[in-house]
Amino acid sequence: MADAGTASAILATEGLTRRFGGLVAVRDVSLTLNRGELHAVIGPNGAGKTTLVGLLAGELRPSAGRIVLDGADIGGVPAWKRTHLGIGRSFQRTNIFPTLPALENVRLAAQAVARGANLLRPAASDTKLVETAQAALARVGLSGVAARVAGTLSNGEQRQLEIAMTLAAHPKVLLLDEPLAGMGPEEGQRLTGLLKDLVREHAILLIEHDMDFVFAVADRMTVMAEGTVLAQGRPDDIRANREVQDAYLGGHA
Amino acid sequence: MLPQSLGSKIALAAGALLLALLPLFASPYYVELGSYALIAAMLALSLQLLVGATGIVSLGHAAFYGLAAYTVYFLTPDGAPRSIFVTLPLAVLASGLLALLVGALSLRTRGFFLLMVTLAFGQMVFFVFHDTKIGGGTDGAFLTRPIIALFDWQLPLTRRQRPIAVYYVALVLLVAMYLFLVMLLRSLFGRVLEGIRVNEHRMAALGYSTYRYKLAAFVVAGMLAGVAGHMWAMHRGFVNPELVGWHRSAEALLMILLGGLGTLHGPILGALAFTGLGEIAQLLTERKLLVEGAVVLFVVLALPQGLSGLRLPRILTRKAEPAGRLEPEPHG
Ligand SMILES: Nc1ncnc2c1ncn2[C@@H]1O[C@H](COP(=O)(O)OP(=O)(O)OP(=O)(O)O)[C@@H](O)[C@H]1O
Ligand SMILES: [Mg+2]
Repeated sequence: MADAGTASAILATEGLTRRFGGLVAVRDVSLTLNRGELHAVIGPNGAGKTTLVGLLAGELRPSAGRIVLDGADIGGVPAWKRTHLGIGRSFQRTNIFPTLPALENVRLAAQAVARGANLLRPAASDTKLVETAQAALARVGLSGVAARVAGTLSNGEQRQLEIAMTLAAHPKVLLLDEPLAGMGPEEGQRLTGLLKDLVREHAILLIEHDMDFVFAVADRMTVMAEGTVLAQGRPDDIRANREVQDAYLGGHA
Repeated sequence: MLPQSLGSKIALAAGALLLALLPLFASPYYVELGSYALIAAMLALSLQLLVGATGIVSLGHAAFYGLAAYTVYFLTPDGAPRSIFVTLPLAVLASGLLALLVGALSLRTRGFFLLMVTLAFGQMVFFVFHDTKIGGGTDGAFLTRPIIALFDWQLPLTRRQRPIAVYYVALVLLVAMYLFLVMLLRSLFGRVLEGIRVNEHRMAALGYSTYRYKLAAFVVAGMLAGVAGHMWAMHRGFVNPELVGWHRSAEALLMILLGGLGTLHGPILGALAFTGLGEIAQLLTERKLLVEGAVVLFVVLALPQGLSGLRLPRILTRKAEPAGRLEPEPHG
């Protein structure tokens, strides 16, 4: 864990830009993610937040700019390899294996990063992977429904499953795209606790619309609008920023 | 995909036993027909690893089947018979290498495009054998059938015993292929294929190189198709370009559809039923293909899970379970 003030950047972007045809979804975005820090990205619909996550996770190629992980440029590394470099993401729109049991959803996530596993071994006999998966399910509070087919879980449970899948790979950088959306208040509280717990060992990029939640957990914030960075700083600075208030926060501050 | 209940395992074992007993009471004609059905079952089963297990639909699968049969032809240029222990591994190797090449290029695409690219590759192989003289051209060619021999020993067979021996070799290989696939789908590798079938995009995000896994499945499926193609050569002693044509691939797909996409035994059921259906249709009418088509259509519409969706009455199976893809495997 980093001491205050000497936080070390794990992931950084420089002038990151992504165009879709004529539309610039992400324009010249520079930010850093430090270990032990939760960095929240907020902004209205269509601001480019999900596109930013897609760029960091490798699902989208940058049109310009750099993505640096532990000092190395990873802009050209495909998505699946970035998982092995320690980047984990959850999806805004639930992206699970609906016909498989919840436990198997998470077990697959753990298997993806397991080293030296004999692929021809019966999956049922690999207890280590199952234990990893069970631990991740327990962390998000889904132990009770491990055997249920994921598609039959409630909306909120599926959102939690999404998080468990991301955790099971033990990433060092967590990219969470609106994890709260679709969760009930109780589940949300659990997630708040979980994030505060996780942030000690991880660098977390959190995208979230719920301002109370964001201001409660964020160490630093980036405000985006129409692809560009409007403001960056500590939550108190953001709250006090006139421009941000006008553009996004409305009467909130 | 895999048999779960005790009832279904017993039903499968009983089916295998029944097939093993067939030569004891069937006429030579029906033994030959049975061999053909078993070979068709192997081809359909090999394709099921792609279609039902991984979610890849290929229209070029017969290329690997046919190439194996042609490999047997190439291995016996002088008419001297070769041992199955030589021809089978080499035929399977040839099919695997072709599958590696075709898969490496076509698996960059998905869905409809993949269907078209595999079709194109299959037709290229077809025209190599159709338009050149290397395999006897359009008319095909006779070949010397592999014999069951090891070192100096050879299984002595009379003319009447030989088809029966071929039947049993095909049956043993089919059962072995089925058990191999059960093992494969239960393994960590099989779970990855399942994940790819359900949600490939998520698998990539989880850190799987889905391309590599799909390619591995494609090569294994091609090699298994090679086992079937080799048996065809041993059964018929003849090769022609039809063996590699897209018709044969489409027929294997129909058998899978008929038997059921969601299970491993489905393609076997489908192949046996399809072969039997063809035989009956031929007896009843001159429009065999029309009857076949109508029956397949009816089954697919009436039984969404194909013939393997048919269930024994509840009392017989202790615990009737919903079949098909949505059925969760007992994971973990
Ligand atoms: N694949 C794509 N092709 C074309 N345009 C896209 C694509 N993905 C996103 N966009 C556009 O880019 C802009 C930013 O979208 P993005 O999803 O990143 O916004 P967001 O900030 O995540 O919004 P929300 O809060 O609604 O989730 C939008 O105008 C969107 O329509
Ligand atoms: Mg979004």
